Amino acid sequence: MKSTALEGQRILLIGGSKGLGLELYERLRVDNKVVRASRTSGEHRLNLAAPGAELQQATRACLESLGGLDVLIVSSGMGAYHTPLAAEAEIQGMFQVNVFGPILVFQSCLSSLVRSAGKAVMVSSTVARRPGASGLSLYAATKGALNSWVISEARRVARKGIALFAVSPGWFESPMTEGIAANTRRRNERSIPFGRFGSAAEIADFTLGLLRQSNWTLAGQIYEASGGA
Amino acid sequence: MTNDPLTDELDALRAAITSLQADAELAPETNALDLGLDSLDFVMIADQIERSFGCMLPIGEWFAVDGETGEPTRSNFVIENIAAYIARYRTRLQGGPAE
Repeated sequence: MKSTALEGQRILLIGGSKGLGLELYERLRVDNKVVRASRTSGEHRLNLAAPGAELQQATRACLESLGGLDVLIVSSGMGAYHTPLAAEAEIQGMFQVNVFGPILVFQSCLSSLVRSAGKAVMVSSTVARRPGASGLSLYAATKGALNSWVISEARRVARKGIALFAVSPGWFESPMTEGIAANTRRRNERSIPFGRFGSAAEIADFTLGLLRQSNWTLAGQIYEASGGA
Repeated sequence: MTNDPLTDELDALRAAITSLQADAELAPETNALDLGLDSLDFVMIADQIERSFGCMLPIGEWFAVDGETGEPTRSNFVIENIAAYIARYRTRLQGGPAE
């Protein structure tokens, strides 16, 4: 059985410069070798919207500097409100960053994950399921697509001992939620039984708790943390 | 590296496959699908081949289901055909004819 200790692991963190990703990085780097990759900062540059070949090259550079891979965390994405008439480029861009990019990065990590019987976690969102969120339909659609991909792809890679799963937070404090209008924020807070947004630290702790579980336990699941919503 | 036709490629393929299945019996005409290798095994094989030759095997394309048979095209998985694919790549890399 794969070790459940979260130390001495080679971890590729897509994102990690702010919000949940930064919280994860600060906790993980203490006992692990962590490489962060994002569009604008981190040890490596990686743009989830880049063409596949470029993304593959960037991912491989990260894996080389890690010397292998035990855990892949994709904690980067794009969130935005859209009007009912979002432009085609906006729709494509959202799917590129939230769906195509994470899948292509995972593909580039696959042989390394097979070697280590590692873990791969995608950060999703509870907005993908009911009751949904008006104005966030495109964002929700991308996260729903990612969840569906996780559920089915996890079945295939589990045959090689890999745990592919998703962490699906509800509303929590992050750069993505900073800009929402006060009345929208109040409405969202009222929808949460705990009456408040979660913190990035809570979601990071939740994610780390999951990463300490066995691959058998984790594979193929969408783990929600939402303040009871 | 030798100059014999496909020797290097066949040796590399044997090494990649036996790293997954130590007891695999491999002749040039062996079909890798008959060894029970699946698409994830081929991800690993392709990775090793790329490390050896810089050649990316198009396994996504090879595992695409043929519209008539409902199965992947079996000839793509014959060991000597895979070796020939790698050899063609190497020839192109050296400026030879693309065939």
